Amino acid sequence: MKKGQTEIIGLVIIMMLIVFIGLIALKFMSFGNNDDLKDTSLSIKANNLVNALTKVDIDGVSLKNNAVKCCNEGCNVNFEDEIKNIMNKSLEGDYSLIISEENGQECAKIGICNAGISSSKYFIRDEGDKFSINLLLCN
Amino acid sequence: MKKGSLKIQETIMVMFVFIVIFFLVMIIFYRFTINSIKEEERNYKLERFNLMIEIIPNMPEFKCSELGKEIDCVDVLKLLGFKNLNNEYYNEMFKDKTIYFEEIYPEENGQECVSNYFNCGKFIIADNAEAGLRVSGPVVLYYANEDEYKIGKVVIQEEK
Repeated sequence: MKKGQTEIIGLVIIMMLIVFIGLIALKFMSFGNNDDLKDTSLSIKANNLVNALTKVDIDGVSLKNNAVKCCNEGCNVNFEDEIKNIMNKSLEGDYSLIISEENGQECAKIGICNAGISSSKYFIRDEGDKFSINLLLCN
Repeated sequence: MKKGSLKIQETIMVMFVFIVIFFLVMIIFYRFTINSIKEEERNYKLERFNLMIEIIPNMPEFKCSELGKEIDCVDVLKLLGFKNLNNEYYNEMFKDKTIYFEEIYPEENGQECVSNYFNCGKFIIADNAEAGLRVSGPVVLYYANEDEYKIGKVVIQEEK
């Protein structure tokens, strides 16, 4: 085989390698959006559930009053049990319902999820005090 | 064989090998592209399906409203009304789906509601899919006669 032909074959091999590497890179780039899909779904569920909790009396008491009690005296055991009951019936994964004071300090956390998709914060005002409630859903 | 024709044959051979390799690469690229398009299509369908837990409860046919203003809940009376509506348009829209709303708090009652909502807690909107994709999400159910809210969930199933 002549020198020129050997060079052409070498060039072809290099070109093929570049194309293969490009294809593999393309494949990884185009399949990276599956997590977004799950996050959107979890975000919808979290927001809908917080909206539901704010409209319903839990153990005969509104969420606002329960949250204020959680921050001032500690959560009622029945309230915690009812929240767990609702979460288990409506969600599949882990969750955390977090009640916080205005400065961001947590008053109560029901559930075991530490990092996940969060709902929008629902703010509560009670005689000048401000609390927030948000729901965290893990995958 | 003359030196010139030998060179031409060599060039043809090199060109042939090059073209074969080029077509092989093109075929592989084509397959990758087709597979990625199919994957995109699957993801799109899955996304559209998953978003139905937001779309269905927000349909004006089910959503609460007061003097034209929409409220974030599902009106149980509308669900009952819809159940008894045999409309071709909706039959076509939900032809491959099973959709139902179920009360989960304060009480859970799997009994199907047909003409009223007493002693029952399940409102079946469509029942046309036995198995396949399934998604569920929380909703607020509003009982207008009692002016009462309850927590429920919407379950949607679709034939694959």
